Amino acid sequence: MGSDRLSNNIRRLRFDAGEMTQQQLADKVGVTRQTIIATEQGRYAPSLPLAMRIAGAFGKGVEEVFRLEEK
Amino acid sequence: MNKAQKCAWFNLIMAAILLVLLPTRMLSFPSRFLDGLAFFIVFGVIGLFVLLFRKKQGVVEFDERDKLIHKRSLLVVYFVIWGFFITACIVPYLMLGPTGSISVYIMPVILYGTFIVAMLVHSVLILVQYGRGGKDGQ
Repeated sequence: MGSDRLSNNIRRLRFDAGEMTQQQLADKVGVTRQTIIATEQGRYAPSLPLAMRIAGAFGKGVEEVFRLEEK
Repeated sequence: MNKAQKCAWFNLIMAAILLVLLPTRMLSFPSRFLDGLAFFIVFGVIGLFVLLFRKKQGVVEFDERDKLIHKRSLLVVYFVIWGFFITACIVPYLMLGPTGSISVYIMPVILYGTFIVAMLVHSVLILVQYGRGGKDGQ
């Protein structure tokens, strides 16, 4: 198994959810805006509970928000 | 810039100042006691700096990513401290040999130096990890 990359479509989901801002999403899931930015850009892989909270904020499942891509 | 970054910048500046002051001031014999006292006061100010930032109500300021960044930084600082301390103990032995002697004043200098280097490394690591994000990463 090579090194995997976790990608996501948080940005698109935010815009689809009434143009939710990063700060609003951060407040909803209980993290800082910087963490949301880093997660969106793929620079930070959230923990499972955080990933589930983010997915729950959009009413989606974790696998609908995050994807594991093999490098 | 978040609280951790501000503290890191402050510690970085203080460590840089102390690094310049250490060799120039602590070698002056008459005021060694005052120098030691001054360094303790500076370290106290550094420690109290965190209290200057009030926690904003209802705002998350320290989450799992911040915890991870601090944990990684502390891990590296742990090894740096050991490396610095071991080097500081071994180098005089290698330079002076088994029969050489050094002033006991060197011991607090090693202690201060270790602390300053640890502060420098910790601050730089914090800033690098937070800063690797381009414009939006603050």
